[in-house]
Amino acid sequence: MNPRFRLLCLTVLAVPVFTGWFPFPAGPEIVPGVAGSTVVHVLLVLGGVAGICGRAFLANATAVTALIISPIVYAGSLVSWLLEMAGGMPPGVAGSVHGAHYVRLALNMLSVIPLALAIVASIPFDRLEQRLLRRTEGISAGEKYLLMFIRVFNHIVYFVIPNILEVMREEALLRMISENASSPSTPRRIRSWGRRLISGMVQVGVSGICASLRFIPLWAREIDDLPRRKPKTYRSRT
Amino acid sequence: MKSNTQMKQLLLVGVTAAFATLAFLGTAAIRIPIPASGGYFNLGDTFVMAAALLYGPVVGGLVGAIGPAMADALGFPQFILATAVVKGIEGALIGLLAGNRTRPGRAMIALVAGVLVLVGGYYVFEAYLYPLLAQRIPFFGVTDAAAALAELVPNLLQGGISAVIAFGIWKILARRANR
Repeated sequence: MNPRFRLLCLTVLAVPVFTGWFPFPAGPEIVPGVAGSTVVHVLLVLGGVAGICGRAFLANATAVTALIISPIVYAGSLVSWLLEMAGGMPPGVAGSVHGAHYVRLALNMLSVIPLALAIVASIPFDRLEQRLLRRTEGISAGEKYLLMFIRVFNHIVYFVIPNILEVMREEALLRMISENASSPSTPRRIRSWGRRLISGMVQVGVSGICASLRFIPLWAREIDDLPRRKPKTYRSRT
Repeated sequence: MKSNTQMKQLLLVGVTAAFATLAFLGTAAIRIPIPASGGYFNLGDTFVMAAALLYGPVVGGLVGAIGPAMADALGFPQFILATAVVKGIEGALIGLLAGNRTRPGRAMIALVAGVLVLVGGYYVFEAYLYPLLAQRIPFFGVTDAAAALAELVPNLLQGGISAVIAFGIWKILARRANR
């Protein structure tokens, strides 16, 4: 399928998801608080993503979605339950564990995340970069900025983050932080654990920033040296 | 001369892109839901604050408006508007207050102001602007005054922790830059 047409189809599918405007009426509820049309819409979106991007892509996107949804939905339910046990939240409010809030949230994310991933995957960043670099007539200032943005984004997502995760695993950073987590928790130990957690996060943040900014001066020089597009010249007819 | 200006702009675009991507990943990776409002707790603010302290109001504002809003697009599209505006202002204000040659005291004042903007901004959006918008566009009908009130403490905690981490990052990187 033509990338532009694919992107157009996905954008059409994304309009109801990102604007809250649903093409069909709510209909009867399947479980209390969840309308049948919501489930139909999710299935429609997932079917659309499978049709446009392929079943293999849908399987991967659904796996990523499940990884993102699980902690949010389960941790949210747990927090709600704890609040309710402590008497802080009456049943029936937005995030109550008795309400359908988390079912609706899970359904919403089940349509939003695969769609967002499909849209990002449909934009051929590498081909776009190659096309810009190969142009013989030069590139405009805006295209240079776009090129810079794409390079930095790709560098961070594909190199910096995997490297940081690898370093964290090799240096057992998380174990270092939680070394005393299982020992008796005196206020002093909790303070020291908190300090270690913050310093670990600062360390990860600094290494992430340094690795992300490392090649930017080099790329800026390289992109700046690319030939600039010449303005079109118009010949007078007189 | 012209090329020098464009080179500087390319560097700024690169730095903005880097911090926006880090803010996006920081926001999307650690999400702890806040039941009352349907929003979530995250640490993406760290990179918005660090960008503002290190590179000033323009980069801070752009990073705040782009990165966390991109993360909201993954699962919480209703909050994109509030996030882009509030965090954009937060980044710009921190950068403005911190100034060029930042001292620790000034950086702390800037960060406190940023946290107040974060907490106050979300409260204004969720208690007043979203209910007002929801009268015309049901999509924004996700919060009310009670939910906004319940989110004050998690937002304060989120801003506070992010500010402490951002201050640590700024201290290390500013020291390196001065060498």
